[in-house]
Amino acid sequence: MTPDMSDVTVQFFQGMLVTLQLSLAGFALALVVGTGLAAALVSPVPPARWAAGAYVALFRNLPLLVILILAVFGLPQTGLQLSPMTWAVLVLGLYTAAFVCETLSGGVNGVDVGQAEAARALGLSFPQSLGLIVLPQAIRSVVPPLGSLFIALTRNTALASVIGVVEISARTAQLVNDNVSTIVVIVGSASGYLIINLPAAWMVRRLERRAVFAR
Amino acid sequence: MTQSVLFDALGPRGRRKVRVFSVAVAVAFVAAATVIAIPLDSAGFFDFARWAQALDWRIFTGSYLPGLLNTLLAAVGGVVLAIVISVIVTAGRLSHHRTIRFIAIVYTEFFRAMPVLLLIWIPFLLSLHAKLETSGLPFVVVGLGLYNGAALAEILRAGIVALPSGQTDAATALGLSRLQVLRLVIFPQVVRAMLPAILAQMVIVLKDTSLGFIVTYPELLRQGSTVGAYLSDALLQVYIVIAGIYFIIAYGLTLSIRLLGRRLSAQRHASISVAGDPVLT
Repeated sequence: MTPDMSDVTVQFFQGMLVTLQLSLAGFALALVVGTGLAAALVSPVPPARWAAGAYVALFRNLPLLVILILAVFGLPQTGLQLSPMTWAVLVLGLYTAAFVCETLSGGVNGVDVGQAEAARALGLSFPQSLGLIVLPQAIRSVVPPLGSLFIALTRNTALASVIGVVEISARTAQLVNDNVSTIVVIVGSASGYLIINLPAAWMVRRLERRAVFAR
Repeated sequence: MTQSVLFDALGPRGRRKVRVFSVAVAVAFVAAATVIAIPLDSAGFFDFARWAQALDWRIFTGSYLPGLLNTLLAAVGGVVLAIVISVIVTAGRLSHHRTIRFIAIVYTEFFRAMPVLLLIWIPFLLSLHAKLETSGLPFVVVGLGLYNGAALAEILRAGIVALPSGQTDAATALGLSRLQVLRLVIFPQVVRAMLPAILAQMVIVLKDTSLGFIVTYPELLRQGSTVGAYLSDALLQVYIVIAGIYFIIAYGLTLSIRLLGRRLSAQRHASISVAGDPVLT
């Protein structure tokens, strides 16, 4: 039995909505956790720096799928049970947070040392020199890498299909099994991801341009 | 103490404050660890029997080790294919023919937009449909090669853009053909300059071999889930051991790449000053 074209389109559209939910929720979580980690990583308090450094090293050097499967199939043994969708958002967010942390702390440390020194020499307090001088410059330089992180996160949401979240990739597999033509399946899944990622890339370019003007 | 942008070397009052905060953070971590550990312990997470099962030597030699070898095999295959593809695509992007340049751009954009999972999964499902009996390995290698070929091509392109155009001009002026310019002048410099980024991409390939799980390729993660199916009591412990193996290898590679990067940049500074001398005198 071969489903007709409009049915296929609806399937891809529904999958795309789930993918979009996963990437938006995951990225929001990643930004919050990643900012906290970055603050710890640039702070003068050694234990906070060690902890943030360990978090980043741990998540950067584990495959995402291993973390996801460990959480979804392993952790229920300890009595921790969540829906696949919640697990997917949590794991994607916490994984991407490590990369957000690296990007943000890199942005702060990339600001010329003279800028902060000049701010302190002018008598600005720590919150003032951070909020008025260092952060505005750091944020500008991290917009493009954060944009690439969002796009990478959208691609990574495909792994949620392994734990039973029916997003674009799961729909794709289903349609292949339903004997839908290969070209339709490939074009459909690719455009599902492109419809999310092309506007994201476009927005990053716009933000980047505006950041250059504001300088 | 790392030199940070944000603060000067601390005075006595600042140091006291940092000490207070350090103790507070440390206490908070110990408290959090305890709060997490108590329910874990009551769920039997620390049971010796479970860890002994997951860390059994026979499982290491019978399952984890063969799995690790399969993981490394897929990684090497993926890396080799990715390098071949990236060199072809990069050469295509530098071509004089507009069509070839266009194809190279479409290739990079398409395969960088697709999840690697689908690049492995779709061909696998299609071959299942065609009733072809194959192992998962070719699908993992091809999927990883297609995606990482595009990713490496982007890295190479960034390196070529960063290369001073005088290099090409000088090589052309010396009478080298376009292919010779690429092979003898551009690629060696770009590969050297981008080596840390290229090697970092290889760590990503290694991590992504875990996607072989979905096509039942018996790599490390799949072996872990097979073992876990037999030792359902120690499933979590088995996965933690698997994660530990991945971490040791990936982190080891990451650290050596960082070391290499530092050595390379130190060498580069040295060679610039050496190369600069004859011009000055």
